[in-house]
Amino acid sequence: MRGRNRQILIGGLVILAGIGYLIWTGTQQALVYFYTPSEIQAKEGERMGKRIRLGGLVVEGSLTHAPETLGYTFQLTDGGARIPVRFKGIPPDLFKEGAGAIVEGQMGPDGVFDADLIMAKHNEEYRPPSGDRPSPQELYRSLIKRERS
Amino acid sequence: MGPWGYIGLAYGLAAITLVGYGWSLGMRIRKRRARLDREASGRVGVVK
Amino acid sequence: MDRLGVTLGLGAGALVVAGLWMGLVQAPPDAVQGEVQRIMYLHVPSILTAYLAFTVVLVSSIGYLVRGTRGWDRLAHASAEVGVVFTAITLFTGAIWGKPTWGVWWTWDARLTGTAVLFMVYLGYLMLRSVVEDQDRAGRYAAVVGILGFFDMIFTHMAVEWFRTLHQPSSLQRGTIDTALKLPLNVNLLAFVVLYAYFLARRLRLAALDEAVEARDLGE
Repeated sequence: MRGRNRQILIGGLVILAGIGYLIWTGTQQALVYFYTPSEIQAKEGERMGKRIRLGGLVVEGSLTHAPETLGYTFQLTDGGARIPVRFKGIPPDLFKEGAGAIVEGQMGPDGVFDADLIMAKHNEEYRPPSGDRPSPQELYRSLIKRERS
Repeated sequence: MGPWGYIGLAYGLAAITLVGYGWSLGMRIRKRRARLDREASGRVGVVK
Repeated sequence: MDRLGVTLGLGAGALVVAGLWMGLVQAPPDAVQGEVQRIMYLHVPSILTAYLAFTVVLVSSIGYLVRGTRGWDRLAHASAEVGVVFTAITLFTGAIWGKPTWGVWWTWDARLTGTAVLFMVYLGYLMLRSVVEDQDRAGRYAAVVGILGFFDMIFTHMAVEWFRTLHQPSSLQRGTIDTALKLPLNVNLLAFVVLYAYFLARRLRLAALDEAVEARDLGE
């Protein structure tokens, strides 16, 4: 290898190590794309009034809809805590009870999460309409994964 | 827009991208070849 | 066109037709998403092909830094350009798929952000090559970018396993695609890989012609 090329290669590796380190430390906070209901419940005061994302499964039987105001209320759960959410607007088609959802907004003073955006989170399974459905436990695992303490 | 609208949009744009890229490769190759041929026959080549 | 180019072109064409029929007609709709899931047959093959392209960039960039021969550099440059095309397809098919399923065209989770960065890195690679005049110097600088970009690719691919994202984990890696949907996916993947080989062969031809033009200009 020519000397100049080796210099460039070593320089590149040093930059790479730096970038890798930054990404790795940055991910510990910044790459938490959404919080789970349990995390929100544990640190409710801290996150009050801040714009955050909350993700979980829509609790079966918790979804109500007022057609005249386009208002929705529901609860999100990770199997442990449940956080009530209210939303006004049009949710995506895949948003329904028992399915994964991520909402954007802020925690209200009354303990209800005020969402202005709903995103439906689906899992990585693809099958024809006749296949078996995964259990709720499997859904928690694949949709939320990785608890943060 | 219904599901087939989104499907059509995705497949249509992908087709345009792939055909467009293939076309751009063909055009660039043709241009280089033409230039090499011209220069080989000595008609241009002086102006540079 | 040379014989290899013709063969690859015809093969890719036939496979693309087969893939379109399987993806749009033969495959059943998805149980959760319905018909719109058919966008997967474009989205997944295009990113996997981009992965292949950028892996070739990695190998040939190292090859060029070690050996310093033009052939490695041409291969890296050609593969990067084709990879950028497939990454672009991944990005817009993903957005078009995201709107009817997730409800948004785009969001800044780790997977989507990483893919956007991947696109920029290799676009930067191509721009770097067009800005630096001296071919050998451009090749060396680009090789470093080509090697670094590969690590963003790994990071982006693994982001759905390592972090919470809106994007779901890799279905292929986890083996969670029913056979009825997997077969059409495999055919489309094969079609895209052969299409990549065809584009690469053509792009290498262009690179050889470029160098012939340059050598002639210098000779006169």
